Amino acid sequence: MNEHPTVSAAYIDETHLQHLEQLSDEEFWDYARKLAHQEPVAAQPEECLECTLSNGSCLIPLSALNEVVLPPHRLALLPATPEWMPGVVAWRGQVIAVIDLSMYLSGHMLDLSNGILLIADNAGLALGLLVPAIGQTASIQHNVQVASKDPTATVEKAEQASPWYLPSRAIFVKGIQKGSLVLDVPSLLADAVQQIETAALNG
Amino acid sequence: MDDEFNQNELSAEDLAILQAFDEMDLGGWEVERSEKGISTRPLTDQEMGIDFLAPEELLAIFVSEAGEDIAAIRQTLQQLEPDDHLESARLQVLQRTAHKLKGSTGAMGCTAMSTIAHHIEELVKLITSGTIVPFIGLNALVQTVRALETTLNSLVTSGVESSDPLAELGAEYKALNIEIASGRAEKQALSTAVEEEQETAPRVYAPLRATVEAEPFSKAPQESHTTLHVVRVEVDRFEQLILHTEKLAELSSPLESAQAEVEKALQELQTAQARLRHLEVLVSAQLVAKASSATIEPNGNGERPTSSLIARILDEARQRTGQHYQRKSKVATRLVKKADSFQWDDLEIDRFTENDVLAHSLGEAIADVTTASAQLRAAFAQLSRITQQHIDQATNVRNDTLLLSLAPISTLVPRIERAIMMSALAQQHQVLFETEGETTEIDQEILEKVMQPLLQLVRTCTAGSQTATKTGAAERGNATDRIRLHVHTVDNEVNIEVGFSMTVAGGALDEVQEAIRRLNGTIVARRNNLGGISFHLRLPRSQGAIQGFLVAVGNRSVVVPLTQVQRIEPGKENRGELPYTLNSLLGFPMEQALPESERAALILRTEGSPLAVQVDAILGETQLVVKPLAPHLHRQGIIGTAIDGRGNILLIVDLPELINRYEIVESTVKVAAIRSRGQQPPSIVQKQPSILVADDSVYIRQSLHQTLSYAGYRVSEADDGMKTLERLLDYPPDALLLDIEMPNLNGYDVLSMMRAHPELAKVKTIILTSRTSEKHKARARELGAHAYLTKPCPQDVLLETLRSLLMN
Repeated sequence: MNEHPTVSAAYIDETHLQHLEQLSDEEFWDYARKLAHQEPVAAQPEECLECTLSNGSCLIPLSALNEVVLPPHRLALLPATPEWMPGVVAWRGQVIAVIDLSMYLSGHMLDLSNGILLIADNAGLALGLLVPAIGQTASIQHNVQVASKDPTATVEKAEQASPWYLPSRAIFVKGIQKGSLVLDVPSLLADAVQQIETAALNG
Repeated sequence: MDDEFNQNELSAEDLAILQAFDEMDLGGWEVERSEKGISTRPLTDQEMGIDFLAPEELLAIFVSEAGEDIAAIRQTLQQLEPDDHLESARLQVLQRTAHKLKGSTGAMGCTAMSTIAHHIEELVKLITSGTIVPFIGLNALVQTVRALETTLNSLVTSGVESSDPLAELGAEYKALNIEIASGRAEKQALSTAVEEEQETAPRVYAPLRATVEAEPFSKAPQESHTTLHVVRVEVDRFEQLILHTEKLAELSSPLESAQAEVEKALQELQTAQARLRHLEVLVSAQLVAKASSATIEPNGNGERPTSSLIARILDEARQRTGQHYQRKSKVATRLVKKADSFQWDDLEIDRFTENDVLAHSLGEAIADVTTASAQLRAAFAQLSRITQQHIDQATNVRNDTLLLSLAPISTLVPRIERAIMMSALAQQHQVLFETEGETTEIDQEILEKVMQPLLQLVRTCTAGSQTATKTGAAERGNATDRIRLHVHTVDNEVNIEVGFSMTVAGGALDEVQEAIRRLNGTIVARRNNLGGISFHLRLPRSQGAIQGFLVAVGNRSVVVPLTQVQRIEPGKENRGELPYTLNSLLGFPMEQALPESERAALILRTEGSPLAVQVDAILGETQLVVKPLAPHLHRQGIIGTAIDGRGNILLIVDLPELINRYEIVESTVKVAAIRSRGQQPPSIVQKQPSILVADDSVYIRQSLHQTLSYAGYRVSEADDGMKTLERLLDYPPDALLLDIEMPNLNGYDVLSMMRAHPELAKVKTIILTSRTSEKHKARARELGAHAYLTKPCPQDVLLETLRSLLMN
C-alpha cells in the first residue's frame, strides 16, 4: 500500500478509518512517520479587494465586506460628525454611517460623488466605506512560515514603504503588498465607531 | 448575623426589665415556686430586695417598654432610605431591638407580638441576604411594625392580645410574595406578568380598600378577561408579523414614488407625441414644398429622387428610352389637387415615391404611438387605482396589527397602587388614588417601558413623607391626600397625567426624563388644581410611526414631529424677533437659501414666549416609520430617522433640543473667542441683569438677595422647584442661581425642564449647592448648567462667575 489517502488532522472519515484498520503494523508506522514529517499546510491565502484611494491604494479582505454598492448613494448629513464621515446611508432598511476611507487614512478630501460604497461589518454593526474606485481582487498570504511560490505576495512590513497615511492610522495598517496597504479592518472600524460616538459629545 | 439571643447585647436597662419579668414570674406564682421546691413560704418584699409591683403595674411597665421598643424600631425604619442597599448597621439595630422585643413579649406570654417581632428579625435577614429587594422589605417592615402597634393597642385597651393584626400581616406578606415561615421570599421580579399583578393587586391594596374598591379601574381588566376572546400567539411570530407589516407599510412610499415616476414618464411620452405630430406637419410641408418646386422646374425634369438607387434607375431608363420619368408624390398630388391642375388617381400606384411611403408610414406610426399611449394611460390609471387600494389595505393591515399590540393603561394601575400603598406617605395619611381614562390603549412595548419610569415617579414623589406631610393634607385640614392618574389620547399620542395634591419630593422628573425621551415622549411638570404638582407624560401611542411636517433645509429634507409645532407662519409674516434657522440648528453647511422674508417659520409649542424656526419650505405632512439610530449615531436633537420612497434618509428632529444645543455651543464659542482675544468682559453696569435665586432656605435666599442687589442685579426668588420653573417661564431672568435640594422639583428637575423649554436656553444657570462630588457636577453639566459652585461660596467667586457668564 503505497498510496494513502490524504488526511486532515481535524477530520478522519469512516473510509479512512477502515483503510487504517487494514494496514499492517509496519505499514501503519510507516504511514505515521510520513505524516509526522509532512510539512504543515500553509494557511489559506486571504482574498482582498483592491481600493484606489487619494494617494495610494489599500486592500480590504473580502471576508470583512458584506456588499459593494455602486453609485449613486443617497447620503444624508448627520450633525456633529467627524470630517471624514460624509453622512449616513440606508442599507437594507437600516441606517449606517459612511466613512470616507481616503480622508480617514490620509486626511485628503476627494470628490466621492461617483465613489463606490463598500459595506463592511464590525461585530454585527454595518458601516459603509466610501472609496473613489475599486480594482481587482488579490490574494495575500499572512503565513510567512511557509515559503510561498510568489515571494512578492507575502505581506511586507508597513514601515518599508514611505507612508502616505496619517501617523495615527499606522496601527490599522497590517502591512503592504505591492504598494497597497493591507488594512486591519476590524480595528479600523472599531476606531471609527468610537470617534463617531465621541464626536457627538464634543459636538 | 447571629440570630441567637445574646444577653450581652442588651443594655443594663434591658437586663433590668428582663430580670423584672423573671422576678414577676417568681413572685406571682407561689404554686410554681413550691413545685420547684425552693420555698413554700412567700418571700417578703424585704427578702426579695425589691418592691413588688401589682400585675397592672407590671403590665404598664411592659406596655411602656414595648411601646418604646416599637418606637425605636419605627424611628430606625424612618432613617432607612429605600435605596438599593439599606444600611446594614441600621438593619442590625432593627434586628436587635426586635429580638429584645420578642424576648420580652414572649416572657409576657404575648405570643402574637412575639411572633410579629420574630417576623421583623426574619425580614431583616431576608433583606440582608438579598432574598427580597430592599424597597419591598422596607415596606413589609413598616406593615409589620404597624401590626405590632395594633396588637399592643389591643392589649392595652382590652387586656387581651388580638391575633387579627398577625393574621392580616400574613395576608400582606402573601401579597408581597414574602414567605416568613420558610425564610424565603420570591424576589420581586419587575417584569412580573400583568396577570399576576391582577391577581395580587386587590390584596395589596387592602389598607386602602375603602378608598380603592369604589374605583372602576380595578374591575376593568377582569371585565375584559370575561368578555374578550383571547388567542395565544407566539411572541416571535407576532414580532415577525409586526416586522412584515412595517415593511409592507414602508413599501407604500416606493410605490407612490414609482407611480410618480411613471406619471412623469407618461407626461414625457405625451410631449414626445406632440413633437412627433409637429414633425409630421413639418415633414409634410417640406414634401409639399419640394413637390411644388418640382412642378415649376424649368427643365421639366421634375424632382430629383432622394434615393440614389431610384435616381440611377430613372437616369438609366431616361437614357434608354429618352423619356423623362417625372416623380409624382402624394404630397405633390395634394398640392396639384389644391391647384386644381391635376386629378388624383388612387389606382396610380406608380405615382407613389419613396417619400410618399415614408410620410405615410410616419403618420401611421404616430397614430400607433398615440393609440398605445392612450392605452398605456388607461392601464396606468387602472394600476394607480389598484396601487392606491393596495396601499390603503397595507395601511389597514399595519394599523390592525398595531392594534393587536395595544393594551389598556389600566394594567399599570395595580402596580401604581402598590407603590402608593407601600409609600411612606400612605403609612401616615389616607391616600385617595383616582384614575380616569385608564382604559386608553397604548402599545404594549411602550407600556412595558413606561412602567418603571411611572413607578419611579410615584415612588420618588411619595417617598419624602416628611416633606409631604408638612404641606400636605394635615396642614390643609383635609384627611386625605390625593394622587391621580388621568389618561387621554390626542391623535396618535397618549397624555398621562400623574398628579399629587401635596408637596412632593424633588428629583422625580430627572430620574425618569431620559427613559421617557427614549420612548420619543416628553414629560413636563405643571401646577394642578389639587394645589399640588402634576407630571404630564406625552407618549406616542404606537411604536414606530410618527407624524410630522416634511420641511426643506437647503437641498435636504427633514421631518419635524407635529407635536412640536404650534402653527406655521408663511414667509411674508413679520415675526419681530430674529428666529432660528433649522440649517444653523443642525450645524449643516450654509447653502444658497431663500431670502428670510420668503422662508416659512415653524412656531413651536412653548409655555413662554413663542419661538420660531425658519425653514426653506414646508413640503407637506407625512407619516413615516421611525428607524432608531444605532448608539454611536445618537445625536442631541435627532429623535431618529425615516427612509422615504426613494431611499433617502430623513432626519427626525427635536427642535427644542436642537435650540438648547445651539445656544450652549454658541455661548461656549463666544466666551472662548473673547478669552482668546484677552478682552475684558463688557460692563454689565449699563443695564441691571436679572437674577433668579432658587433655594428652599430662607437664610440663603435673603443672603444672596442682599449680595446680588448690592452688586447691581435685579433679584427675584423662588423657594421650590415648581415655583422656580414658573418664574423662569413668566419672567425669564438673565441668570439663575439654582440649589439642587428643593421640594417639588429639585435642581436637576428644573434643569431638565429648562431643556424642554428652548425659550429658556439663553438663561445662564449656576448651580449653588452643598453637594461637592464630581458625580453631581458632571450631572449638572450634562443637564446644561453653565457653572457649579459649592456652598459656602465666597461672594467674589459668585459675583465673578456671574459676571463672566453674563458678559455675552
